[in-house]
Amino acid sequence: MEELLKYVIDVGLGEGADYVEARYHKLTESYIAMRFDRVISIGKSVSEGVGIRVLVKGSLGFASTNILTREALEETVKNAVIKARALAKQYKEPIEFANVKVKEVKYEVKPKIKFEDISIEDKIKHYKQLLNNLRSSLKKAKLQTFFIEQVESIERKNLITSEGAKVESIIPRVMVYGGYTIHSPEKGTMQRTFEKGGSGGLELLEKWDLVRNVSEEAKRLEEVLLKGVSPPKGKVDVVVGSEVVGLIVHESCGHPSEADRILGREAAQAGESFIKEDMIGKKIGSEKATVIDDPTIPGSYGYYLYDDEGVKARPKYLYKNGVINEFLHNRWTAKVFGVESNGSARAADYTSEPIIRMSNTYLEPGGLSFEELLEDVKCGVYIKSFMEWNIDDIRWSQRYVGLEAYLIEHGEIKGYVKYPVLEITTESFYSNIEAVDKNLEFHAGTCGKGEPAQGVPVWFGGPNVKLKNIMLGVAPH
Amino acid sequence: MISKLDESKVLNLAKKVVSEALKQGYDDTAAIVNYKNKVMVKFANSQPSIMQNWNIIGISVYLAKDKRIATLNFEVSNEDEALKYIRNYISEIKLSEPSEYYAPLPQIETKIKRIGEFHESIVKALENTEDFSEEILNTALTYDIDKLAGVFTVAAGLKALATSANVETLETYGNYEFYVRVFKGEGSGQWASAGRILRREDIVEATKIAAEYAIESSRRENVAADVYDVILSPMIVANLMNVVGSMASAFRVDLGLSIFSNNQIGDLVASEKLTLIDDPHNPESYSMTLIDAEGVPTRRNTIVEKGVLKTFLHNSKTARKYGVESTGNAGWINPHPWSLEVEAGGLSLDELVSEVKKGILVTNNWYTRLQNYVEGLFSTVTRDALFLIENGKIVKAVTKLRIADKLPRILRNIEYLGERRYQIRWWEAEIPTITPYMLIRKVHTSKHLL
Repeated sequence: MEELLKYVIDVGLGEGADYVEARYHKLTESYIAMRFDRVISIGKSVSEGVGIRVLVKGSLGFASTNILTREALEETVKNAVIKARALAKQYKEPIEFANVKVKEVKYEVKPKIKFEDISIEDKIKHYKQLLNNLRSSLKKAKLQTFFIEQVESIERKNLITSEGAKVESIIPRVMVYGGYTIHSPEKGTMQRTFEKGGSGGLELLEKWDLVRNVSEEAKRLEEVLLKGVSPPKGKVDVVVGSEVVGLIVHESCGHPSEADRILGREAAQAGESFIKEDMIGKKIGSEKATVIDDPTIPGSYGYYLYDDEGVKARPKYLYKNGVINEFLHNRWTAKVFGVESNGSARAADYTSEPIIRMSNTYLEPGGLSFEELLEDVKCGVYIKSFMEWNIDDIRWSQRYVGLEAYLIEHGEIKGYVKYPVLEITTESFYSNIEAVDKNLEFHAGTCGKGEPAQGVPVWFGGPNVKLKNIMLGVAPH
Repeated sequence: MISKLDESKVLNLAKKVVSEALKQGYDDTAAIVNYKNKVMVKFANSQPSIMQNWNIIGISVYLAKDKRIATLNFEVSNEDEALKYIRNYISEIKLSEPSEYYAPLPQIETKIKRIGEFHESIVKALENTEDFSEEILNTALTYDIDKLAGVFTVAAGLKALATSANVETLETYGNYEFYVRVFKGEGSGQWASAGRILRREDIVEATKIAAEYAIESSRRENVAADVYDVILSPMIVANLMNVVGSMASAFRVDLGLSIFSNNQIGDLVASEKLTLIDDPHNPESYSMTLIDAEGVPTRRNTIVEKGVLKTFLHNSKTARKYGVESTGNAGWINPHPWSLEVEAGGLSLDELVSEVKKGILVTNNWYTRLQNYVEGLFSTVTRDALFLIENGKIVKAVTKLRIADKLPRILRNIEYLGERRYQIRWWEAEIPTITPYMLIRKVHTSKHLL
């Protein structure tokens, strides 16, 4: 394959491209999908091809094919150059890339338990057990629906650039996505969807212990459904659970810190950013507001060591002690801002151009225990998980509707709250962070961006966070 | 560009996959081979940001053995590798369990060998995409705007289907998608156009609507969240009908991912003003198709007729489970709508506005998310131009709100529909939707509280 990629580079340069990048990208996935205790289907997908990016007189071109003959690749790269050249005169500001120290590296994540070491039968048994536990955990409510899907994947990449970068990687991942509805004739329904993901092998299933954790959560959600009351009116302290904090930092720090979004490249899709080009150093929150994006966390769902432009990955402190500190960059935005790329370019598969993405984004934890975090809350609400959420297209006004939520009185959890609504601006959220505990947890998701839309695996996380003086809303009746 | 040679290649490959699978001992099998050429120009800051090209062959395979079901998808470098996976998968599928959804693949009497042609406008645009790019940018420059962003995509392909129930079809498709967002001062406007036939005037009109909404909303004032009568533009109706139309899938109903989970056919689920149709036969449709993934001829299905739920969308598997016929919406596992249409009403946009005493005209939205799919508890964020209406007149442009309500209530409160329909497909509306403006009474909105 390396030889074919080198050939692509040579043809591209020969056609007059100033820069050529060729990425062999193979993604193999296997899934099992179940509804209640029955298998719906199993399956496999293999996507394998080459994505080629060229820069011709400041015009950026991308072409991809899964016909991996010398002739087809030659035609593909030539086509990319021709089309890019044809558009060059329409650029008012030609695209340039920041310089990068090129390397030749290989890295691989080795699973402890390989996918093939556990049979399909045992995987099915695992989820039947999960369902049994879930059913028996409910006392009064009935389980109305249940589905679950497990996906095992291996991503292989081989990147070569005309500047001499050579990066090879192999990353296996596991993801589980499921959902269920519990129903009470008097109180209606409550639904939960959940997702777990990480890089590695099937040892992750043991770590997640879904057989125990899903049923325990369902037991708590039944209490919320049957006994939950509306959140208190007026301003209260709100303890936001790690799952919600993780999503908040992904949406209201990670996304607005993407330099391509700041420069308007995603304006017609995912939108722009409240962060403007000159806002490094501007205060956005309290001292406790430090948000990090770190692709290098071992075992993480958003793990990588070199990005898809061949740049070495590192942790980025996006907000640091309440101040906007660093953007997520690729080589183009790095050139515009006059900085070095911090290795944030990712492509979902061979059909995708590399664009600026998050990896594992989290709020820095503190030193308190959860009990200490609650200790001085006289009247408040603890929002542990969510279902509905959204944020506007500059990442300023956001809404999260609590699912598992509790009333806090005098530092103790006293009862259940149904569907409290945290609807808040980005600045209000980070400015109202009064304390954070030490319980850093990560949650998995698939982040969408770009056109055609690319989904990439990410973690988002954080500790539990206490916000002061928050007005909660209620979901519509 | 796709040639006659490719036509026989893709159909032969589909047949070969089916024949190989049967040789391995699978009971039922189907194969779709999709060969696609696609070109996309993405714009930002009133210039291109990238030109992208794809030339891809995809092979999708359905396999069943002793009522055990598997789906395989390949975008691989050569067909032998796909065939190798299929051969090896027989030992995997035997370890699975019989599926409650299994049904034999339908025997179809009519074999359709060759369907459709690309429209010449699509062929031209594929070859000269840069001309369209230039025209889009030049059109935008005729308005007093700050900047433009968007995407122009044109695709053509061949889709062959072969099944073990003797179906052999070859369909060509060609389509375009254009969406554009224009910025002016504090305001912005976004519009979309899509279809099987590319007309320059549709591209120009979409750019014009986006530019006009941007200019009209360039100064915005705050507005309080309240219960409003709301006029939704085709952009936002398309997004919401994507959600509702997908929920008509019988599979989604089974999973509890549908507001129709507790409904029976014949139930009143919306205002009598709403008729929602899935029509893959419309020759203008972006996703016109005559055959579904099981070889069943597609058809025009009325999902909701004058507010009454008329059908769920079925493949042969859900149809067997529900004791009905397939509606031609396979998806081997999940039946899905192809091309949604909302029946037009009789009012112009001005007339719709004149029916509103206190309300909002919403021109676009994004991020529709649900708290509970069965109950339809949801919110969506408005984006781009938003106008306050008082006593039948647009008073001023206002800042963003959320619509936070229940989908069943939204459907029940539809009162009027516009007379003109637009075909919309973009990021937030993946299923092409032909729809007019829609007036909905008493919609709950919300806004950040601090």
